[in-house]
Amino acid sequence: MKKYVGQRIKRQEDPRLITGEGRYVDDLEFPGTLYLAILRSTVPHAKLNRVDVSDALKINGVVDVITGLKFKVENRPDNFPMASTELLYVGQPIAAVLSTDRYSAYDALDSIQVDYDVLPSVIDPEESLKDQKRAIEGKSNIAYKKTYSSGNPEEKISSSDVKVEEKIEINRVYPSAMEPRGILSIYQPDLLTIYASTQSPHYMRRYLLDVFGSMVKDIRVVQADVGGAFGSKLFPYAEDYIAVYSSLKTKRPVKWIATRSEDIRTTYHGRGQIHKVKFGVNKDGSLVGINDQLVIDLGAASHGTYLADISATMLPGPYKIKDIVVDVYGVYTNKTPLDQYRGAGRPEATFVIERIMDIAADEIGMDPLELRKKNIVRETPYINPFGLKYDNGDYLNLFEKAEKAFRGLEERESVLRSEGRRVGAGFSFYLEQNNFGPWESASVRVRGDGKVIVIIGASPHGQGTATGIAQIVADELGIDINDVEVVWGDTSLIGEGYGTYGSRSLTLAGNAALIASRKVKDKAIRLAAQFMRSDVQELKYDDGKVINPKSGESMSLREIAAKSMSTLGGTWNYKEEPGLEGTAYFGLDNLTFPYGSHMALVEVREDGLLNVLEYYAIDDIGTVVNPMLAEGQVMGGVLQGYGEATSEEVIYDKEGNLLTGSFAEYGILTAMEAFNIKWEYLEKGKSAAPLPAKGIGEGATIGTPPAVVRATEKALNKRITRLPMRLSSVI
Amino acid sequence: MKVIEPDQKTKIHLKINGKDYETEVEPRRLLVHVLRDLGFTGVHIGCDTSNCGACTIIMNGKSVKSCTVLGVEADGSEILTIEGLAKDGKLHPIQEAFWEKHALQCGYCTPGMIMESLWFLSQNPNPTEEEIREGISGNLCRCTGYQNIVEAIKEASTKMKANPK
Ligand code: FES
Ligand code: FES
Repeated sequence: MKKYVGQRIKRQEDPRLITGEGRYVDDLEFPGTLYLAILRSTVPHAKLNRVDVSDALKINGVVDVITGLKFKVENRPDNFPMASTELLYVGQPIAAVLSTDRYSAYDALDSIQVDYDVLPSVIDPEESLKDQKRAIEGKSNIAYKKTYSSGNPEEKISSSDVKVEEKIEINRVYPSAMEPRGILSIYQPDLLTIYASTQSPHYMRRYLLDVFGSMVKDIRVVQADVGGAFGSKLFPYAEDYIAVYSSLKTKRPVKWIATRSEDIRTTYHGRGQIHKVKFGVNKDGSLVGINDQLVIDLGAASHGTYLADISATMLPGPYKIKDIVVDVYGVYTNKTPLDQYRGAGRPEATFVIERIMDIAADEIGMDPLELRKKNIVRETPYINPFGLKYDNGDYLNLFEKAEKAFRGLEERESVLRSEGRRVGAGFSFYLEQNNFGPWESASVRVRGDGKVIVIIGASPHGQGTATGIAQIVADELGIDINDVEVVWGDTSLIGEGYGTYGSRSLTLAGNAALIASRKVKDKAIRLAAQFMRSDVQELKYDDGKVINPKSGESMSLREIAAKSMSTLGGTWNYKEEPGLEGTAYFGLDNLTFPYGSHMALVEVREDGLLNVLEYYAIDDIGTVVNPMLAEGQVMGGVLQGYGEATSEEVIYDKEGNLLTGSFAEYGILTAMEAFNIKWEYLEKGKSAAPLPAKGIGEGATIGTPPAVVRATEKALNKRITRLPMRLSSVI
Repeated sequence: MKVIEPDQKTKIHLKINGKDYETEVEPRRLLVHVLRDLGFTGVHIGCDTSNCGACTIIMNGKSVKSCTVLGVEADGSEILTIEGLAKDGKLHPIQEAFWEKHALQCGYCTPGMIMESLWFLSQNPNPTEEEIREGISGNLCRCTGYQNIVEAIKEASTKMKANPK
């Protein structure tokens, strides 16, 4: 019986967080902790000659200073986690001070002398592509080159009615989790315990053991409360390796907490793509061919290349385009390395294809929604030209619902425009790809008092997944949700797990929990058969009880648990193994593909800033476990997407100095620029999971930028091909 | 006037959430660190440019970003932090409303946001949506898009009017 799934259930996570009792990593104290402060490169590119730490060591409280630390970690710079020969970007670690107090640790940084020779730097990714000046000495700037090709786009474009060329730029952004990164590493012989602000403690353990496995037997990673991540806290960073090494070296607990300025310089930036597109469209609206040259600005390391692969393969989006080629170039620059940020490759792909749709419509003088409809995929499953198998969905159905709403916005648009106001309505349709695997784990354990604890391998950090999974388990076991507690984020609690990223947790961990609950039910039946002296076949589990329909006898889950635990001592006289636990690992053999539409009505004010007058989104994400949580993801994601479209941009000057090095310069939005969002959902495109959810963590950051840009473009009557829009240069 | 050398510590008295504390601090130590050292870790740090408001507390009846105040400047003050807001295990209406309206996700901005709302509603018990948005514009939230925070503050204002203390 479904009592909880589908309901707006209040979060179990909140009572701690609204009373100040959250435990983020900097809130955890351990006796004897040393504070780690890191000296960082202030120049984008230089040859590092010498680091002199002798004065720093004299400072009261300073216990140790570490320089030249070097580990081999795949895809990371040679100079990792510290620069020893070459400085590659502003913010790269050079030396680490360990002190008994945070303030003196930072004091000591000022006493370290660094001798370096500045080298020419490479900042502009298109400049980098020419491979004349080198971003990393002795290496080609072109770190990655791949071609995705299908059909014959050149021929199709040249024979099309209208040919268009555009350069579409998507700037770098900073994920901006409100809690900066941090780690506390606690030393014991043979065992390190690490508390971290991370999206994946299990993965972090594996990463760290790769490097430190010869120095310590095991590493237990515990995810502290995490103040947001948005993809940026998935992979261990240089500072994590430095902190862990420091605690092994000093045999003391070591804590490192980023200041905001450090976080902006070092937490991997996101997006950073340039697409030079050529496409052909026929007068009837069919988009016949696309040629895209994609340049991704990797910064000073190559771990972000997969984002370009996602963008390239998702470029066709929900449209039937067959003839398409994407030439991918990953280039080094002297900037903070690039990696995933909420959406990870799909917002970029969607921005490009949705811009193409609007521009194509403008070029042939067709309504952009009609043009999209002409090209939309009408049957699923559908294999896209690069081999992605779009799963289940009725795109046209959602599209038509969205269209109705959008025509309403257009009416308001024309009324306001007739009053002389600079107003525009913009529409986007997007296809998302999520549930990045391979699988997730969950263990459901009934305690003697009938309370149920659910351990999940996913590691939510604000999404409210624990509440959603409690809903699933409570429904499946037919018990009160307040008897279910979901815990996560500790590598010692469950054998293995992955984490929370790629909009996967509710579907993968939720289904693991569902299957584990079913195992518990089976076990409850077998135990009850012993206690009730019935045949297993006669019994069934229903609504929190094992019942014998023939005799009318029943035992609740709580009673079965209590009876299993009733006496201490004595013997176990039943022919069934004691214990009411089930563990399951769940994976899907394909990614899931939710979809949706975003619509904005905006006004460009006198002062050149934007006002959003109306915003509406509609998504199909399969079964929605908790609409309140899903809506929360959309609201937050829309504002991030809006920030990316309007004000957020990591800016370096030509010399490679970071101009947006703090929250005073980097424009994350306040409640003043924010606006109200109306959200609806459909549940038609279900996934193949037993609980057929998909995921909504990232959808809104994908759907928002193209809708807002289109709306602004219409308000101003000027084509916009750049994120953020930099309106002052457009008006 | 007492002169304190840079590396010398000085004793300060604070009344925090109704209890008296005495502690020795370096003159340069920020109030936010002093409070956190005393165990009030609900006071968060989200920036180093006084932009985010995660560290917001009530000091002598006014909302203050505690990263902009030195511990020594706060000597003798009365301070309310998020930890002191619930009374006898009963949540404050603003806390209730944040829970009810899903006004938090990661919760990192939440203590500061709630303390700022407390101050704001004390100044403007009957705010419009615009006024609420302006009232919390010094507090950044990256997760929620603010919509539910605004809703929660609206709801709290209604409840607080119905049940004035
Ligand atoms: S910590 Fe950001 S304003 Fe105080
Ligand atoms: S809830 Fe995460 S920053 Fe506000």
